[in-house]
Amino acid sequence: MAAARRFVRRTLNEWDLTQVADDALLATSELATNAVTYAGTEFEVRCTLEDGGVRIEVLDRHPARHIAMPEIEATSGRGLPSVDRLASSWGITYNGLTKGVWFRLDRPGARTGERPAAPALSVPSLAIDDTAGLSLPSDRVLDLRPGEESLDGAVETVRDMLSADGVAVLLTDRGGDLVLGASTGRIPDPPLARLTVASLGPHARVGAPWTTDDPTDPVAAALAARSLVAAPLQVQGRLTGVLVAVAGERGRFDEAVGKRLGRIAEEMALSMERARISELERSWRGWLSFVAEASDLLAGTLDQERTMALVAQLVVPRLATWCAVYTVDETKTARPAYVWHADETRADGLRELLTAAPQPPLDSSGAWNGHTAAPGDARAAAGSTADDLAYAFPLIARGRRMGVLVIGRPAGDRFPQSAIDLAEELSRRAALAIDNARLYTAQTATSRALQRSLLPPGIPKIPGLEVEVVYQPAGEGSEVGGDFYDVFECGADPTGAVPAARWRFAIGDVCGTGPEAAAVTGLARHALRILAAEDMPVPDVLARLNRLILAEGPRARLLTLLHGEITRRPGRDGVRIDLVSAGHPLPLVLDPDGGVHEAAEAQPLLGAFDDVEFTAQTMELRRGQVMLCVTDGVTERRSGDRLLGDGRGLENLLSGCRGLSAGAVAARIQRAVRDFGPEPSNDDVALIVLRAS
Amino acid sequence: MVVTARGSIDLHSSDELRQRLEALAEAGHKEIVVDLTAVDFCDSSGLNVLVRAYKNARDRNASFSVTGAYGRVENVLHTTGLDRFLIGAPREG
Repeated sequence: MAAARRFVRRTLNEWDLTQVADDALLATSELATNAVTYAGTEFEVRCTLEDGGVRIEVLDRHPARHIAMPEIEATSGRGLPSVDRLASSWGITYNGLTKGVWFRLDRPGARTGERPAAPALSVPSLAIDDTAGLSLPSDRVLDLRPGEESLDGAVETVRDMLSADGVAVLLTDRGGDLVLGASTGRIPDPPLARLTVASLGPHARVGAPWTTDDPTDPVAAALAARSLVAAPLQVQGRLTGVLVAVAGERGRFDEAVGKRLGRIAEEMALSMERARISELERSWRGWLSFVAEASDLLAGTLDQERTMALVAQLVVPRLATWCAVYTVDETKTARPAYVWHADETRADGLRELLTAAPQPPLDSSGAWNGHTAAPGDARAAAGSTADDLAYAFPLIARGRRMGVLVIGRPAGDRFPQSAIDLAEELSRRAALAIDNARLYTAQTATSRALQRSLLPPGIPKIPGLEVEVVYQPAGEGSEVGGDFYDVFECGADPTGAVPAARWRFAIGDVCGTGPEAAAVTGLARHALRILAAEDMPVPDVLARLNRLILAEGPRARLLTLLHGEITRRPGRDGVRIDLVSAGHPLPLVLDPDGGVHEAAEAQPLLGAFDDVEFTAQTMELRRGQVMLCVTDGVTERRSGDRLLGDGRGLENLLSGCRGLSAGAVAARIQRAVRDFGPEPSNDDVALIVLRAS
Repeated sequence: MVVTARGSIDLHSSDELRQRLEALAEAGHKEIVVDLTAVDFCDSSGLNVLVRAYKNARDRNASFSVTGAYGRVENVLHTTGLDRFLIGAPREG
């Protein structure tokens, strides 16, 4: 996996495609994880430079296994959807022997279409302390040594076979030392002297067994043996250890015993290698699934704070005893935002220590000891934590430095290389997840601002008329909806000497959501106000707006609009309303006796046909009468197969509102919409209630 | 050419209808009718598809209409004023 990542990074560097390296590495890791974890085979990575981008393919030798296996979809490894998010396109190739999953990343600037920055929102469970999903006891995954219980059995057997006084297996460690792997009988533990591969005689180097009565032989000296027989444990010419039998007197072992031990050693070396490989594979898979699981959880959060909290919880206690996630502000100052310690009573001290310590580097990873340089009082508050070992990994995604991940373990407890690799991988994914969350937050804020700009700043007071509006956009706020409303004065005396006598109101719904729908919404809202200022009659305003929308060409969207003008009735109660319903749900009027009727006739919607004329319909809203105008988010509110508007549903609802003020009617309708179905509404809801008083 | 639609025409399904209608138009069909008898719901994305098909047909000097709308679908066609364009549109040319 690490090799695949290095290969991709190097290749992209050579091709001057470093800008897409983060995404490429992440997607490659996902696919390689899939190949190893689910296909269980070796994999191959191919990079192809294509016009305007790069195509990367991960091939495995398991064409029969389908990529969308049920358990993948059910539990972990949403690798492919992640790739889907990262890549501009991806696909699968089969050629009989191999199965390949490829994806393509465009060179920035060569992009044809922006892919959405915010993936679908799903909130993962934070109950990750349930390790069933991760199944990774923290130390097991990092310890790649072969099972030593089987060695204990083996040395016993050898001792019986050779009638030796003691038998030991010495294992070669990474530094070339020979350390005691298992022993039985007369073997000093630890050995009396340090043994190294280099100190062994010529027999060991050629892989042959040897016997000796020489007490100055380094092995004999270390094991306090008068005589010994030893055989190297070799795998493909590599010395993995030595099998030694010892005796308390000289001359116990002859050449035949040596040959016999040699055969045992050969067999033992093979089975140890098998055990080592299967253990390696198990922990390798364990950590792959850990990474897959972690990225799943990370990909699922779009909340920056939660993402950081999640990272801390993923790291502790699996990879480290404690962890801190630093965030960076505009002045490039890093501060510990999340601090997590396996021992909760130490968390506060740790936070104090890190806050007082110099900040970790923002752009290079590696061992870090800044916390040991903290002032004395902070070190005292942290207790023994102040001397812990720590590593720091910068959180960088899309070229942006977002913070640092610092992990720590007690001083006596070194970090295995695998833990460091894993933390580094995790930091990369966390950085991307945090950046996604940041983008999502930014996008949400922009959408809200845009949404606000599409709605009127305030509702004017109209004498003799109560006006209440409700506007509730669908979703989490990342998309600008297509509903809008407006209520404004028109034909007012600019000097303000004469009070306004006319007002207009509008409620509309643009087909679709997103920026293009918002463009039509903006166009409509401004056109209504501008044309009203020119005193253009309502039907003409709609005809003009219709032509304006059609002039948008391919960006045109269907718009349903209810638009009316409210005029006072001098000397009489209530108001006069001249209105046009252009394809919009018809307004309903509630009489004081509870009767409900439609207040207009349907005319064609806007943005569809260029040859439409509209006619105004005039009505009076008298004292106690209520007019309700809604968008289809109300009438098409769903509960299973049922819609709120079915079977005069809205009429019946309004009929139950007699005697209520405009505000109370609006609140009751809004509540009825909300409570109509078990699921939250997936459409915008807007309504205007007018009540003559 | 009669296209029979079934179920709901909404955000999820309208694209399929659009593709079908575009394919028929490209194949040169001069008279396309969508039978809505088995359709119980049509949202604004569905209306959008019908309007586009209608305008496309008009540009090609062909005809496009819908038939069989009832209940909610009939209501929405009426409310949006599309019924006068889409139902029983006279064949042109």
